[in-house]
Amino acid sequence: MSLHLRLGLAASAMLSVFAALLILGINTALERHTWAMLEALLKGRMDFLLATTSVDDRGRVQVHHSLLKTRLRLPGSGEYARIFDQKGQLLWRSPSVLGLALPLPPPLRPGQFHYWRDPTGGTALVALSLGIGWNTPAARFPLVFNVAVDASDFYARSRRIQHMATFMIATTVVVALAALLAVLYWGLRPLRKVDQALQALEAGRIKAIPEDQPHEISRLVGRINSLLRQERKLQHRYRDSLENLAHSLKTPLALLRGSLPARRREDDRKQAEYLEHLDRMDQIITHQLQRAGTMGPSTANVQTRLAPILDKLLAALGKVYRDKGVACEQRIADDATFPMDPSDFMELAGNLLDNAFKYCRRRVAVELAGNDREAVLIVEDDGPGIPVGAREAVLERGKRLGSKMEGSGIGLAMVHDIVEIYGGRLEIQDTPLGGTALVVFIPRRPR
Amino acid sequence: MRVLVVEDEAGLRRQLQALFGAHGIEATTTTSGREAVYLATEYPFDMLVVDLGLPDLSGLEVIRTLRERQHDMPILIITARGGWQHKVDGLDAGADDYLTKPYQPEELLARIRALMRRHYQLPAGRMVLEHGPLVIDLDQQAATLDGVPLDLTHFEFQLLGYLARNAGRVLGKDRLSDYLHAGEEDRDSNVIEVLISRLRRKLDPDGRLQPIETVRGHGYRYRLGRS
Repeated sequence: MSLHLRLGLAASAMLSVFAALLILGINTALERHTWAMLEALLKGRMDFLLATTSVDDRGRVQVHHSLLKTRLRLPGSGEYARIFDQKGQLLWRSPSVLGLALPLPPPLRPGQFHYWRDPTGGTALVALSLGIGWNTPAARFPLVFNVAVDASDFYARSRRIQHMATFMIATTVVVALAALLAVLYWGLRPLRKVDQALQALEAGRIKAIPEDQPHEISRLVGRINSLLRQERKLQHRYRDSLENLAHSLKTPLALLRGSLPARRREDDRKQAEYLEHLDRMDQIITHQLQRAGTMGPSTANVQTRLAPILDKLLAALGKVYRDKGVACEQRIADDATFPMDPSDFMELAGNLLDNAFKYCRRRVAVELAGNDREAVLIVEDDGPGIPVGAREAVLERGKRLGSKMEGSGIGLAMVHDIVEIYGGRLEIQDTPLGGTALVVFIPRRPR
Repeated sequence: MRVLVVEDEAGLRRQLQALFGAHGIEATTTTSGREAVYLATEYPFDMLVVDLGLPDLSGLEVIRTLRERQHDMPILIITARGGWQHKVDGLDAGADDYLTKPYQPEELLARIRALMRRHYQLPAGRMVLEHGPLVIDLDQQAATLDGVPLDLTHFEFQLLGYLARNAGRVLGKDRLSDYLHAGEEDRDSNVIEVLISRLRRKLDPDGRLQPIETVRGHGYRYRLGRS
């Protein structure tokens, strides 16, 4: 999972939980506030009822109608008042209760009170019942006063506020999330740039990652660049050592070879034997140093741009084989890449093309094919070709150390080595040009 | 034919000199890149054979310097470094061909002949200049007039070969003297005049060919082989 996606998901999840908790808290607070308001309302109504009620010595209850609030006088108005005796017998009710079956209050001792709301949520009715011991000069009468109001308006207002709060919070969360994602995108841009630079590095377009980075990653980039420089330096030192070794070994060989008479007589067996040994030593040295100098597949998954290397090789070969007037067709896109170290590719293509220039009549073609799994380099010529039956033998000879590759060029052994180190394969195929097509398959490593 | 050989290994240098000498090629040798640049600038050579790994100036720098100074002689690299990067670098610097050590002497001679043929536009497969009745075989160091072999001394042949390869160009006495005596200090200024006079007598006894023209105040021009 990418860093960007990871941080984006985490931020989204955190903001969503935060928003849900906020909405829950606001709803709870609002509900409590509504109920507190309703309690206050019911208490006020109760006080008013008590103030307008009188009881005579015989315990008869009387409520002064003229003092009643208008809403208590209108049937079904939403405000109700009732008075019960201790046994639950209705002693008085407001005219607004007419035709309604309101729930009975629980039996209450004097001083006890009880708030009620419809537990089923079927009605918006809320009620307050209060036990009263009403003293007259003659006696004390235990009564239960009950007031009820329809709280639909309160509930509706509370719901509106809830919806508005939810909408505001959701909008804030969406805006905050968008801003956060934008900040993430901007904040992670240096990492994306480093990733792009690494890709360019692997494709051989640049030699180092640009070091003008934020200080948090500039050290890392610096270290990577320094490792790359060190690796290149080591590679060069290694190659230089191999070349110096080649020079030290080949100069005495050249001296030995030159010290033998230029034209050897057919019957001089000893001289022929010396020459054979010298040739063999030369081939072994060339072969082993070439093999040791081949970089092979690197951890950096290097992709080499072919066009610049092929241009150089073709210019060089065009010079060497100028008399032949070879026409070389380069069917390779300018930005095409090959999964191989540049110096290894130079050796591979140099040997293949030298072979083609040597054995062609007039035409050579070089082409790149393949797919996501492997890259295929094809070098064709219009020379005499290698008969189908002899191809296996030519490839087999190429595998053996220092074999003479009569008719197919001594470089084929080197080509074979490089291809083998890269885990690829080499084939000889027919070509529309009429000669030989040497086809190199090199696996592409998954990115 | 005169070749400048730049090789720092004494044994190889001696071998090359002996090999070239045995095949009629005059070789001037040096171990130093700087001296090679000096010699090639001061004296006329038909070809440069250069090793890449030299102690002072690298072979590549020698080649680049000479090409920058407009020297167009063929250049053959001989080196122990056989990698394609070195070949490409050498050819890109201005060399014409490349031979890896240890080389077969026959291969080296064949490459030199091929480069000479290409440079002087000689017929394929032969080191021969055919100018009307006069045929000059650069390989065999021999010339014939109307099919009759000419009796030429070594210097006479060298001079004829150089003039013929540069047919149409005016070559001063100093340049001809430099070619015949590259690197030697003690020279007689009359030698060229004497050699030219002898060549004229031998190549054109009846005065019909007029092969070597005197360009007053400048030198000599070989007139055959150029229209």
